[in-house]
Parts: sequence; C-alpha cells; structure tokens
Amino acid sequence: MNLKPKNKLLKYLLYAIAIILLCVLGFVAYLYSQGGQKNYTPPSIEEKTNEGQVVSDLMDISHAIESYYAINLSYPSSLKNLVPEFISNMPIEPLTNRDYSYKVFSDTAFEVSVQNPQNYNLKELRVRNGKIIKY
Amino acid sequence: MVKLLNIRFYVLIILFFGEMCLCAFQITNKENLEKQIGKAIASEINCKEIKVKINFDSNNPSKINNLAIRMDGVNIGGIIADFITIQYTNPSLDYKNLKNKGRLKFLSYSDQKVNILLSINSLQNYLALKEKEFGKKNVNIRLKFSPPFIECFYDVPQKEIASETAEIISKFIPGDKLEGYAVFTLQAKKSELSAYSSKVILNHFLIPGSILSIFEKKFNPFEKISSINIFNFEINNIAIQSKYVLLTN
Repeated sequence: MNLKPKNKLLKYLLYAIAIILLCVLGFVAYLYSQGGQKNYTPPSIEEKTNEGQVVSDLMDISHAIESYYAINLSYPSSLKNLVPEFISNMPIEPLTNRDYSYKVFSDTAFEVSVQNPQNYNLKELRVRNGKIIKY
Repeated sequence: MVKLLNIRFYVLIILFFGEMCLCAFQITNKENLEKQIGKAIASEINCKEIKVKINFDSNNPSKINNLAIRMDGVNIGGIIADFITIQYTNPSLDYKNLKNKGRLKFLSYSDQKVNILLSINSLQNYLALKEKEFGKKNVNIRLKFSPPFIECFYDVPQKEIASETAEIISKFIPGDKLEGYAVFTLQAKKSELSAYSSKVILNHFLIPGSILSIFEKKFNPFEKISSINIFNFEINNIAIQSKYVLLTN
C-alpha cells in the first residue's frame, strides 16, 4: 500500500510521539520505583583502591581524634577510646588487616600511620595533626 | 671525705627543694593564668562553660607551647555549637592587657587550630529556630548522621513551603503535604556552609538530579559561621561523624 507523503509523515510523527511518551512513562515509573520507604537509605559509597581506602581511613581516624580533643582537651591514650562516640568502628588496614599505628607527641601533636607504607608502594603514608603526608 | 659528702647532700637537698618550689610556682602560675584567660573570654563571649588548658615548655617554664580553650554552647551564626575548641601552638600573650584590662590578646602564635562540634540536637534546634523565624508550623524534620552523609526524614504541609519552591516540584506533590527522605553532604568554604543532596525522595518519587541542582544553586550557601570576636578563624572543612559534625579551619 502506497501512502501519500503527508500520511507517511503523520505516521512517523505518531511513532515519535509514542516513543517519547513511552520514555517519559518509563522515566516516571523508574522515579516511582526508586521512591518508597524501602529506599530510605544513603547511596552506596564507591569502592576505593587500597591506597584510597587507607587515606580515607586515616582521615576518618584523624577527625575522630580531633573531636576527642575538642571535648577532653587532650588526645586519647589509645584509638580504642574513640569507639563508639567519635567513630562507630575502628578501621583496619585493608591489605594486612592490622590496626593503624597511633602516636601522641607531648600533648600538642598526633600522628596516625600505616604499619608499613611500602605495602602501598610508598615511603610515607600517615596523617599528622590532620594533614595527610603521602609520597 | 665525709665533709664533701655532706656538702653534696645539702646541695642535692637545695636543688630538690628549688625544683619543688619552681614546680609549685609554675602550677599556681598555670592555674592562675588559666583562670585569668577563662575570665577574659567569659567577659566577651556568651557561653555555658569555658575550660582553659596550658602546657608550658619543659625546657623554658615561662614559655607556653600549647594553649587550648574549650567553650561550650556558643552561638555561631544561628547554630549553637556544642563545643568550640581553639588550640594555639607557641602563643605569645599580651600579659599586660590580660592583667590590667582583663582582655585576652594574642601577640603571636605559630599555629591555630579550631574544632567545632555540632550534635544532632544542635542541628535540630537550629532547624526549629529557622521554622520559628520564617513562621512555619507543623514542620517535622528528623536528622540522622550516617557518615559521610546526613539523612533527613521530613514531613511538611504544602502550604508551608515557598511558592517558588512549590512551582519547581509541583509535579511531585499530588496531595497536600511533602513527605519523604533526603541524604546530604555538607561543605564549608570561607566559613560558608553548603549542602549537596545525593538522593531526595519526595512523595514516593526520586527527585531527578537536574531539579536538585536548581535547589542547590538557589539555597547554597545556606549559613555562614560567624567568627568569635577574640578568635579570628575561617571554617574550611567539614566531617560528619557518628555523633557529631566536626567543623575545622
């Protein structure tokens, strides 16, 4: 059956409108499916490399130590004192499953570091007074 | 020989008592100084409690190597901070000013560290104050810290939101209220606080990122942390922890 060019154009237009409508409906359905109380959860955090995970852990511990200091005006004697008030779980090194090292210098400075930076192909990997040292 | 031993013994006793006296002087001096600093701060800053801790240099007893000041319940631009702790390394104080006028003035210091802790309660109170300020009623907002996010459960009558805001999200408001969930991260730059939403659910619909970015541009920065007159500082970092939001310079 030969359609006139005008009818052909109308047919394509209808197809286009139908596709657009389907897309819109699909998008709305997606937005609806992602709502609801079962989706009341924070987004998942991207997986990090081992080194990235260590940097993130060191910063989290460092922030927890700073918060401890802000209340007690002294640094904690052990990292265990930070749980659960300032950090819900004390992270461990992802590669070795060992605890991070912690040192206090005369009540004015602190340092958190990995046991062996060479595991991460680095010479230094630590956080001192809130600043990351990595090279 | 006995005489020499006797002399040594006396010298040791003198040295021992000398050191004891120096220590006692240093302690009383330390306590007095802490009290004076606390008084000077209290005369200028309205807060619940002030704690001052001084550490003197072990090699030079007249030199302070660390001065930490904790102030509880200070208003910092609408938000009442649970704790503000300011730590000075190697500070040099204007003792004349402190003694005569009761004012704390720093002549110099090598480092200043500011830690501000905000609990859920202080943020909830801040929101309650904002509701009052804008004359809003029946607004229910519950916050929860889930590091590195802040979760927010809300239930707000439609009439309580601004008409411009209602216009943008009108497609998502079938009834007469806005109910849902939002996840935020916070950022600080030059003491200005901004909130960025990673996920917002409104009346069972996930709000698209394009709409969220309109709100982010419109409402950010949402608050400015005011510096405290004696201590000049700028907040540039935020960390969300299980019980507190930590703001640092």
